[in-house]
Amino acid sequence: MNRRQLIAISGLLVAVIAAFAYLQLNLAELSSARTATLLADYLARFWPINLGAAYWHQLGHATLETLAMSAVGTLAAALLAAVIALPAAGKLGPLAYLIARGGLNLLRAIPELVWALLMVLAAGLGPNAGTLALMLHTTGVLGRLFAEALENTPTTPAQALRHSGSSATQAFLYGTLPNLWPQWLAYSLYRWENNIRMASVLGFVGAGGLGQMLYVSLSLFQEANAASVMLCMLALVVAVDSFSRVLRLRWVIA
Amino acid sequence: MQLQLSGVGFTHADGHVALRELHLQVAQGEQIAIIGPSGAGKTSLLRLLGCQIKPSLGQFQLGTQQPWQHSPRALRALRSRIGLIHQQPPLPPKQRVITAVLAGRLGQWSLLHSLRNLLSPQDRQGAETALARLDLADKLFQRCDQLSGGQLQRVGIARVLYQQAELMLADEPVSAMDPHLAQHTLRSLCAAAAEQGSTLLASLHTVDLALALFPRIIGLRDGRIQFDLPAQAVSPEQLSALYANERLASPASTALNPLRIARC
Repeated sequence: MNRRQLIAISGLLVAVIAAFAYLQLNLAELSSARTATLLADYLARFWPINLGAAYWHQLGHATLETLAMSAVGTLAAALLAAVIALPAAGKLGPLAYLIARGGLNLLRAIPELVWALLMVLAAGLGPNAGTLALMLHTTGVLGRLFAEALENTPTTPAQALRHSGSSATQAFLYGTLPNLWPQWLAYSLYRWENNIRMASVLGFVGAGGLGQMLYVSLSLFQEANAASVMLCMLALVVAVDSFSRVLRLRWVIA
Repeated sequence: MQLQLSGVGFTHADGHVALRELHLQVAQGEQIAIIGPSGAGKTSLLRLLGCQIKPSLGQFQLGTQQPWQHSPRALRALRSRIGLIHQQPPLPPKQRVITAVLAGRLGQWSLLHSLRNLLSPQDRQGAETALARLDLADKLFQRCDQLSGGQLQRVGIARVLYQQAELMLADEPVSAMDPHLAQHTLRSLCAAAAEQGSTLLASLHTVDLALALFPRIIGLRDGRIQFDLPAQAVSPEQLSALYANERLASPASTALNPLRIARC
């Protein structure tokens, strides 16, 4: 070990110690036996999970709500993004390009949670707000990805069709879209997977679904109920991941 | 479709002169092969005839009209009667062969019909007939990226046959095929053009094929028409003059690329 590395490592150590001191973390308490017991006690309260039929009925409803929120939000965002992608890829002139890119940047810059807070104020508590929030942010993300995929798609097939007398729209449908839509589908599926996780969190700000149930159960110290909710979240994420994997294998990779 | 060039020249944006002072008359239903060394301007000539590039000089008349005096709408209508066969057919890799062939008639279809045809092909019979002439009927539902270069070229030809273009312009249409298949394919193309009464111009690197299948031969060199003769009147001396120096200047490239040698 040379001198310079030695200085770097000791500097790093000093920084870590200083950070602990600044945050006033009680390391002694963190490593005490009492903390371990308390932690074990708290974790034990999550078991056994609540398997009551009435509660699971409620849970099933919330799961469907979360699924619907993410699916509708993503689908609407994909449709909007497909429309905005044309100007955002510069196909409709420089002015439309600037407006579309600016709009997409704005939508993307504001995170889903902030959109959800705004939408809860605008549209009231519940899944409407969550769906709108997901749609707005995802439109920003997908619009940009779609536009970049469109820019990178070869133009010769569409050009050749134009030279044989087809209109710009027809040339896009037959010359550009066949190469483009598998990429668009792949991006949409990926965002859907993200959104299903996000949809479970949006409930914390009152936007419906499983998140809202988790927030309520944790706030009321009903850990058994919370465990059931988390189990549902896990199942939902796994289900959507494998569903989109099947779609990807069928349409994107093949 | 008949066409006429008088004193036509074309200069690229970078100043390179591709075509000079061309005079040419083609009657309805004629079949012409364009031969000449690489860089002679064969592709530029075909693109000019296909109304893709505007002549920098002279007069170009297609049918009874001058295409570059048309409104964009009328130019589009005119282009839908022109079929282009490319050396590397620009077909989307993920598109099915049937859709690629049916796209030939997009210029004649309404947007609604194009959309319906995209969702489910509306004229399977028509696509199958066009492909069958080129022995590709069994590839109807394959995707374009599953085909070889020669098969793709034949799909491109089938698209123009389905289009029933009145003017067919083929740029090295059989360059990716073996000699036997190339001859068979060109023969089918010529026969189909004759049946439809279409005018056919094809640029070819294989002189023997051009002389055997086309009644009229145009020799192009340095953007000028070197000769324009019936096939049987083309002499070996004229051919060696047409390709002179080219083989001397770059013997390595001809040896490396046997499919593109001037003489076969």
